[in-house]
Amino acid sequence: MTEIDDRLRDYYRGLLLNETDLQNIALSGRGQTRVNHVLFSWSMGGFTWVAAAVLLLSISVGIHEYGTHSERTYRTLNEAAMNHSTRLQLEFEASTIVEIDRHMLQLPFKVQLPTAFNKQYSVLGARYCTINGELAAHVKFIDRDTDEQVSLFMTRSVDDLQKINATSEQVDGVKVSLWNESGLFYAMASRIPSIPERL
Amino acid sequence: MFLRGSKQAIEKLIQSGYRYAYALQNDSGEAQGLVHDAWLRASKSTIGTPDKALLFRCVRNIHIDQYRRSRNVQFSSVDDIGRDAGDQTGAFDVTEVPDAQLQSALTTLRETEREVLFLSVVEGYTAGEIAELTSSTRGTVLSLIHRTRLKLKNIMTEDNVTPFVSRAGRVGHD
Repeated sequence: MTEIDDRLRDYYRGLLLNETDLQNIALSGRGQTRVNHVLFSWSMGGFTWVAAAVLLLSISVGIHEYGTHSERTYRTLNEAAMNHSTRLQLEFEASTIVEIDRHMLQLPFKVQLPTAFNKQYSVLGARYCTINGELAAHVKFIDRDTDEQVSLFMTRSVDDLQKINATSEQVDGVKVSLWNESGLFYAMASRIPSIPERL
Repeated sequence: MFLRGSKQAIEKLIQSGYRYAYALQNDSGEAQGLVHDAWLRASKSTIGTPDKALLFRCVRNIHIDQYRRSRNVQFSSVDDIGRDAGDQTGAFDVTEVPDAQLQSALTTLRETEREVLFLSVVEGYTAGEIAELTSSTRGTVLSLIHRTRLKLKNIMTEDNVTPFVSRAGRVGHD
């Protein structure tokens, strides 16, 4: 077998790529392409991990934010509905919104009606309350047509409240509308079917 | 131009890869493409210069993954190889190429046979190393090498009417 082995070695060792092909192959794997490829591989590897991490973080934050947002909206809707339904005693009686603003000096904002407020509501009075932990005004109105009470809550439109999208929901038999306007956060509540026309 | 490893060492490595690819493909054009692909893959797989083991693994894997599959060639089990030794012989003109008789004989071998013979005889791999590279067992590899050697000898003996140029440059007959 020795001779065949020797011939095999000679045969295979005689098989050579020509210089041009050899250089092409060597350069394709080593030269600039190689450097770029190494960097690219690392950057792509790093990018992939970073992208995956960002995606996971985004999903986590998104889920958290969505949960937080939904929870905040739900809590605010319930808060408004409960405040409206409990019919707590008014602290200030007044017939105009200007009077209420004049009385409620502890509020860090000017009490003002939203732009599309129903003119058939007459002011009864107001009291302090909180909406989402913020000091708020609870202004009560009477609907002259139905004789039903309507509550308008307003407070500063802080970050958390700004994130609440305008919505209108029914909570425990109370129609509650939430919206932001002119730097204030509003919540309007009335018993169903006396639905305010605002939203 | 080269980050690590001398130019000569890299060229030597690629030539070895080319020979291994040739042993598998038995075709210079396909072997060149195969070693090129393997070199690229090996270079991607390591920061420094790929070593021979890595390059050979890449050659073999690419050969299996792409070339053989695309050509729909049956890759015989090593256990089935060698039992039909001598049932195939070359049938082309062997007088115009160096050691044409050997080349003709190698053509009749299956690629797995050429592979183990190349790795064992030319590259000096041990049976254990070949077994590791080919995902086989040492015993199977030893058996295959033995059977392939016998097969090659039989082919070349049967073909003894064809003159060939020996290693020493003599023209003779087996």
